[in-house]
Amino acid sequence: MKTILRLVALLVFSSLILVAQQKSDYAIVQLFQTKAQSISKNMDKANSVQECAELNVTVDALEKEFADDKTLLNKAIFPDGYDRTIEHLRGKLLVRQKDLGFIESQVVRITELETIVRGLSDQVKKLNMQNDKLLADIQMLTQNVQKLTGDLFNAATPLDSLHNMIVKLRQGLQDRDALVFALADSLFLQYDKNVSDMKDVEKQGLLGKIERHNIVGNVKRSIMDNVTFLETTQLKGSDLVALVRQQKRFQSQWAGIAPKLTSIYTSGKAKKYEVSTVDSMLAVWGDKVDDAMWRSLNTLFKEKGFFVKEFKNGEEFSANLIAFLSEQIQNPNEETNDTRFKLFSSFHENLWLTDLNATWLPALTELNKISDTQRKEIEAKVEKWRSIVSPGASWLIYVLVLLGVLLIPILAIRLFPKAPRTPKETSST
Amino acid sequence: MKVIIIQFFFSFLVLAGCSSLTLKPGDFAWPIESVLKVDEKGIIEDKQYYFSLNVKELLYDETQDSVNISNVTLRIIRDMKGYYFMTASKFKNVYVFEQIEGGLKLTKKILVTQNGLENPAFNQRPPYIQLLNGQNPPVSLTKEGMLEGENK
Repeated sequence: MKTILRLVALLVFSSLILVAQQKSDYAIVQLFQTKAQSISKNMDKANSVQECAELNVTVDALEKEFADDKTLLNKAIFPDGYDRTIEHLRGKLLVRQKDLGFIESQVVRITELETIVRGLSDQVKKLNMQNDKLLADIQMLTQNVQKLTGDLFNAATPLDSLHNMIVKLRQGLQDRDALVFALADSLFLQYDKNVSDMKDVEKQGLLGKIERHNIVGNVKRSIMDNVTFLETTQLKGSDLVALVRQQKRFQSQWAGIAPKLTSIYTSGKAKKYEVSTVDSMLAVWGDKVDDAMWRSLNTLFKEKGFFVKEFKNGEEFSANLIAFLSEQIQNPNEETNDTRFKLFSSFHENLWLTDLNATWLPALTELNKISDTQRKEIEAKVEKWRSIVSPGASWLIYVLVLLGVLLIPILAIRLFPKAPRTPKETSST
Repeated sequence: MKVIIIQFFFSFLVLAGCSSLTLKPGDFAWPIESVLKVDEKGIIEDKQYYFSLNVKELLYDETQDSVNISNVTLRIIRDMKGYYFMTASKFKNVYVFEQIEGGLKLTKKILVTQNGLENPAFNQRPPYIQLLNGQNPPVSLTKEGMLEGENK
């Protein structure tokens, strides 16, 4: 029965594919002609080198899009067909460029940039779709895990597939973020000058491109997806640190393009607030990653059994951790040396070496949450705690020195045995 | 006897002179269909293949309505052999015509769907004419009808 069902499903699926593949030849021809006419009209209106370069790329795209229907178009469109239509468009563009007095090399350079822009734009679209799907899958799987375990997902959840998905999505989000900014950079590069020095026509052209490639929309989407990812995955430790780094990188990249966008948007009333909207969204994202980071660190201390007073920022973290370490050093409860040594060993092995010194302190310093001085102070306190609770350490050194003193003559005797007797000595005996 | 032979010879020459000249093979296939709007007089006009045709009778045959004809958009294609295939949205049939002096003559009326075509389109797929109908699987047609195995 299952086999029959599978076969039926396969047949339905393959017939659906077949239906999807069928296109009306008439519709293809109409679409080609409409696009070619639109390009031709835009060539008449083109006034800047950027517009010409863009049209050049559009002709390339038209040629590529309809390459599979070349035979049909050559037959159906009389007298030009596919080949001559493309040829005519290229010729017309060259004439237009000459009329406007543009240098060919300049057009070629901007055409290359425009090709990059379109490639990046396509990649962003693909990644958007891929990330949306992954995010939806992760949300669904996380809910299932919560139902099963009654707990939020964490990095230790033994679900390889979910963890792999999260890794993949994190990579996808990072790639998309990088692409969006690369796309924006390539757009500005085409104009080869500061926005303030641009003519109104150029500004309008750039604004059109920014909107066509949905730069601000993609930036907003990136932020929203990153926030959703953060809230869904509840990551900890180095994974979370990576997210904080990503937010900071994003913020600094946005700081690079925001002033340019502000200059471009000054003319449009509705768009004027776009930049400040993104700024607010970024601030919310920043607050959320910070909250997640401090929450994660507080939980870390609790889980490992060390009662450090709760903190919500770098200053509090540093002060409370130092207070905890000072307390251990001062020993107000007058605990025995043995208990203190055990507590220090547990702190050192389970928290200091594995998390605090390995991940968090370098990250917090790098992210300017704590200063170098604060970090050094914390390290010094830990060192002092160690020296106080390990009194045997100095005795150990004496024992080692004594052992060394004893071992040196023994080793010397072994390494340099007595010289063989000389022949003279032999003959005398 | 001589007279009979001479008469036979002359009659052969006369018959040979009267026989029709045949040009073969020919390919009359249009690469794509024509999509033509019927005007208020029931006439369609094709600017690519330069012909016009009164289609009132066809519309009446399909819809039993010869008044509301100006909103119909006919889709026409010609196959390799020179037969014309016509249909339109909401039509149940595809009509196959051959050319006659000053017009077209119906050779076959192919019933495609009882519910009427949703969004028909013809494609030239020699030796067939392919009929697309919205999301339904495409159908291959010849002047005789639907390709065997593709009946509804």
